Amino acid sequence: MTFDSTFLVVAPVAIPLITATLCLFTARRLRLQQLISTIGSLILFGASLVLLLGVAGGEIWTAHLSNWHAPIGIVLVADRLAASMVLLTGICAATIGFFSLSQVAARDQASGFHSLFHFLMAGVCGAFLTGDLFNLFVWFEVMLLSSFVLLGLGGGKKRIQGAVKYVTLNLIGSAIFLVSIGVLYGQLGTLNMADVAAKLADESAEIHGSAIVAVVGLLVAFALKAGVFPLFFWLPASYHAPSPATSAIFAGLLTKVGVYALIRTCTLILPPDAEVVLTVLAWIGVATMFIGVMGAAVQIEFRKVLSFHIISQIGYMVLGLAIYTPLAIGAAVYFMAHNIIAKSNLFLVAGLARRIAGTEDLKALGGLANAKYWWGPWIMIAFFIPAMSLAGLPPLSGFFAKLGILMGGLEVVEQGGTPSLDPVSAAIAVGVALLVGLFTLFSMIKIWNEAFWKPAKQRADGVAIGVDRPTPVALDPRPVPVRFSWFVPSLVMAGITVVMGLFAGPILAWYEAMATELLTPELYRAAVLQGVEP
Amino acid sequence: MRSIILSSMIKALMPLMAVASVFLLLRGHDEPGGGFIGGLLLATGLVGYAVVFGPVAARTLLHVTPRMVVTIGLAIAVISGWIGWVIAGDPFLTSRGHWVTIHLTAESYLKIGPSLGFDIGVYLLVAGSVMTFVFHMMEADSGIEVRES
Amino acid sequence: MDAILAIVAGIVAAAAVYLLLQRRLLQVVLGVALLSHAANTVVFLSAGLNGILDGAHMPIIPRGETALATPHADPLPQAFVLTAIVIAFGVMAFLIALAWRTYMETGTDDLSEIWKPEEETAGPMEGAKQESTPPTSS
Repeated sequence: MTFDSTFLVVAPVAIPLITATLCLFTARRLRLQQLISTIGSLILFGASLVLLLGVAGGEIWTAHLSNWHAPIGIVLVADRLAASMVLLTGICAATIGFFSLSQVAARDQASGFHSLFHFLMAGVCGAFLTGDLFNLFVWFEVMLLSSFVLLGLGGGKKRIQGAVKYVTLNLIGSAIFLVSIGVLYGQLGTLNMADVAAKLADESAEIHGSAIVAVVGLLVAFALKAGVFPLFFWLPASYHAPSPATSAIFAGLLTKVGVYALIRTCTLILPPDAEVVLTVLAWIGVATMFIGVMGAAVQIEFRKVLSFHIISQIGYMVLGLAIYTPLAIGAAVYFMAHNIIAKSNLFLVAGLARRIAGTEDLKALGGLANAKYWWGPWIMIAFFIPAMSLAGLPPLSGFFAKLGILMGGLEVVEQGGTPSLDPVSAAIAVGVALLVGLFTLFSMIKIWNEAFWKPAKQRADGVAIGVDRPTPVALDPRPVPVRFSWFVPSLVMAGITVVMGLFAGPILAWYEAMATELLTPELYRAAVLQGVEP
Repeated sequence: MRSIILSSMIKALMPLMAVASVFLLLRGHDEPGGGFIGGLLLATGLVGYAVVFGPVAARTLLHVTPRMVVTIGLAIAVISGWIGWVIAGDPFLTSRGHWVTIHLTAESYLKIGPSLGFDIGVYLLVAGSVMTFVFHMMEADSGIEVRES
Repeated sequence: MDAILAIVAGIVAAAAVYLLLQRRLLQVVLGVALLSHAANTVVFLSAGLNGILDGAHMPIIPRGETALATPHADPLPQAFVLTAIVIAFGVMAFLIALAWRTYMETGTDDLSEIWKPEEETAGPMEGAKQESTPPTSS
């Protein structure tokens, strides 16, 4: 038994798996299951924090599973990018896990919510950490299968409708992924990402064009999972349907795994002479931003507005990646970090609003800004901070994330363009990004006004609908009093958003250093293929 | 589906299939076979039993719920993954260097190691999940018939 | 061998796309199944099967030997395919269950009926009424 770096790299995958198994064993005893689930999430958070602290200096830790060395065996790799994503997963697991205890119907909790939740976490952490393309496929499937079941949990027509679209589209994505893997293996004889990268970068070897096509196929599959234009339509169809805790995990983490895979593929695997892919990605990013925010503008349901904003913000991340300078990629990853926290938080608040007022329809909602009740100020704080951060108001994290990407774009304009992006396109992209920021603010203000400040509708007897008395929504037929513990996860996440904004300077600098490292893929290759003859 | 031929066949076949599935499971390390295919065979036997005598009878025969089979399989797989780590600090899922060969007779031997544990886990998991799914669908199917008639 | 299987994979994928574009949910489910079979075939092909007809050996070390006889087929894609089949199997089980549930909830197999938006006149209590089934004892 040694608690070395190898152990720490495996832990974020193994801990949720063990927790999920224990949750299955205690399926009949809800209290015990809740306890195990909470402890499991906290241990995951702790382990991911230790992992990040370990690699924060720029080291790359690897774990060769079952002692088979790369490139033959499966290798888990924790560099700064992967470790920081795993930490965010840990944060989400702890906060959303706590939230789910009170906000997921007891019936759903008893029929496997907690074990599925931890399987999902294992899938997400595995996808972040793995250094092998086929293993990435397996983790994607672990993630998808648990998310399918979570999505359908509890039933109801709305959930089924969402699930059908989500499942079909994601399975088509998986098939594209698998075909790309097959072609890539046929051409290169390896699927270890570092080894694939080394073989594609080797100019002396003759690479068949189909290997490049396979890499683009991988990008298409990841783009579909990330919800990028024009492959996004499954996302708004499904993310608003499940219980708020589930949709918070989905919104926060699942699409970001796709973006992470895009970043990893573009920086590590994509051959240096394939700039045209980055050019296409830049335009896709711009289109995604714009379409997402336009879609959000016409929605009148709390979580649907937020779902469309996920798409729009994925666009920023993709644009940041496509600008392909250390500053822009660093900012894109910082954007991802900010978005995971803020977006999950907004979905949690949407769930609380629904729980308290009994509806998510912005037309029917109202009066949440309510001084009559003790919870009025708390729900306002819990919404206002992530919403304004998302809209990009200083001094919150979203402002600095957008600023970083815009500065990256302007840098390209100043330098007269990069091989993948000419200055005019970069200028257009920056312009659209600014405009989209404005529309995001509009959407957030819309929710803020409609749900919080508009007076609540009155019933015939003068009682304000919903707000005067918490309404049971799918949880419990009896109304229960609002408890402060409901707000704790949201407030913790809001606190993280504030801290990320206040320390944006050092965090962005750290991410920029990380991006510089990403753009020198030799480091990653050397760390993974230690002692292996080229 | 009541048929004398089928029901007497399945009564004889199901134990045979169960034994054959264990054979496939244990053989899988040096020759073709393994947990997945073994588990499928076991599940096929039990599903055949359920087709003839109904899912309720099959559940009674099984004593534990199929879901519990899945759970136990998962637990065995995860635990066996950590054996190498507990003994020698090896990475997750290592079984190289942790094999024990038990000589049964002069010619036959049994090799036991962490990856056998993993395979047993897979075996139970596959069998359990197939049964969970099929029994569930069969019950849902009979449920709708009752409601419609 | 490679060429034949590649063409087969193409035909299966084409059939899958045709099924995916149908309006009935069952056909979409079958389409997804066929698509994963096509993908599996492609992965299987990546081993380069031409050698098999030229007398390549199975990638299994015979009893009493210590190494593979050359030439032998690449065992790794077969492991990939096995994993992919297992995953596809699990996914199919879920998809069929989902299709069943969809049919039970909506009473139709027609996707355009299933996705027909619900009435937009949902009052504030609508959601509660719709979804509050009494929780079973846990």
